[in-house]
Amino acid sequence: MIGYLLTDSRIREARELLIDSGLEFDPNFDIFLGYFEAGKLIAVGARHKNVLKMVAVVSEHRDTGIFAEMISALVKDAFQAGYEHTFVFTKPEYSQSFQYLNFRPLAKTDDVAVLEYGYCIQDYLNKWKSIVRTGENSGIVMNCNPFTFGHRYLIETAAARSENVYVFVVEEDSSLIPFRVRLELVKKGTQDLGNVHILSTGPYAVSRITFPSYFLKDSEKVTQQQLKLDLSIFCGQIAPAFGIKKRFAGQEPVCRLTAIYNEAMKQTLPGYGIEFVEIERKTAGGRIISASSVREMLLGGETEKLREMVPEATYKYLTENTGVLASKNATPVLNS
Amino acid sequence: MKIIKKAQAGTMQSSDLMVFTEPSDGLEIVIDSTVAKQYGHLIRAKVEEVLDRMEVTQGTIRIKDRGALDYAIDARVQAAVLRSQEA
Repeated sequence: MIGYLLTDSRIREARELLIDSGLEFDPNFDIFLGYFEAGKLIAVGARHKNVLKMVAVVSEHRDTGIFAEMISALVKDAFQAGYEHTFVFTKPEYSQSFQYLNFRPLAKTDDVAVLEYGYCIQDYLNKWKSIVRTGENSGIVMNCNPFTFGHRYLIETAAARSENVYVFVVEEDSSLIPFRVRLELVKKGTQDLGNVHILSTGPYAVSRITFPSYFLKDSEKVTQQQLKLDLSIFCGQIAPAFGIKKRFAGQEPVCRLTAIYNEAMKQTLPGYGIEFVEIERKTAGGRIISASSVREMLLGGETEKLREMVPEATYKYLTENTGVLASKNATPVLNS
Repeated sequence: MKIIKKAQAGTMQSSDLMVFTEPSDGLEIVIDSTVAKQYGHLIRAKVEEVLDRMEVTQGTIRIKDRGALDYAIDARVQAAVLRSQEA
């Protein structure tokens, strides 16, 4: 039978089972389940938000229904917690076991396979079918925290060099400005550009699933692995669906992480037949316009300086919500 | 009858299915099955029959099937629909 592992000694048992199965223990989980037979732990599985992890069955009990029972329990528990779309990170050789349970493969590198359950990337792509246009199209992935003249300049440049531009606004809600607002401000700031389409990334680009280091800093090796995954989804699944032949990004002289991301795109994209175009950053008063400097000015009370950095709609939002944003900024999780 | 909330029934065991419901404007059935090629149309017919019998006119029903037989599909869909009505 399946139950929650709640005590330290139970978690230690689970940890040993994982290590015996060649898996690593990861202390970040919301719930940990164990399958007991005659008081002995024979299978474990954990969930952190909508990610299933640390799933293992002791070898003599594989090829029974225990694996399916464990995954069922995790998916149901996720559903109860409000997550209908779940993901699992596993070794590539276990991908098939999850596919038998109706999981869909999302991405794969040499070290890891990611699969999803409940919804799949095809559902996401189908949602945008009505705005897909054939042609020499480009894509941009942006957080826009918040939308500045710098973003506007990058989009304009791409629009002038492409038949259609698809701007994917990062949907993960881990930034100072909420996703709904970021999306709205990008739409308002680009509505005069006829060949620009604004979309959301879903969980499929720069998300807690594809690129967690963007939100929680990790070692550079881990970051590199995540980038491979993130870009394989963009290049292998998103770009073909939108006819994207080029991906635009701004040069990154300040933020190390974004610079690594750009470097990875430069290396990876051509392999998929996608050109990576890096654009020189727009400046105002001799200073590069960046969303992070805009946030600094706002929180530092230099609102008048914002006039030359952000469009009207962004300015209006920032000045009307300064208090809310300042108190939100005081909480430690927001770093991007 | 309308689907008024998200609900779930079933398991991932072989020969079983998971059923998820959610409210929506129309009536939609989305089937994902390991045996979709051979039996997708029969699964759909069975789900439609149950919804018809229960007079469900609005909602989305998503099925993740692992080769369940008719009576299992009937029972799981019915359970999910009833759960979607509970306050």
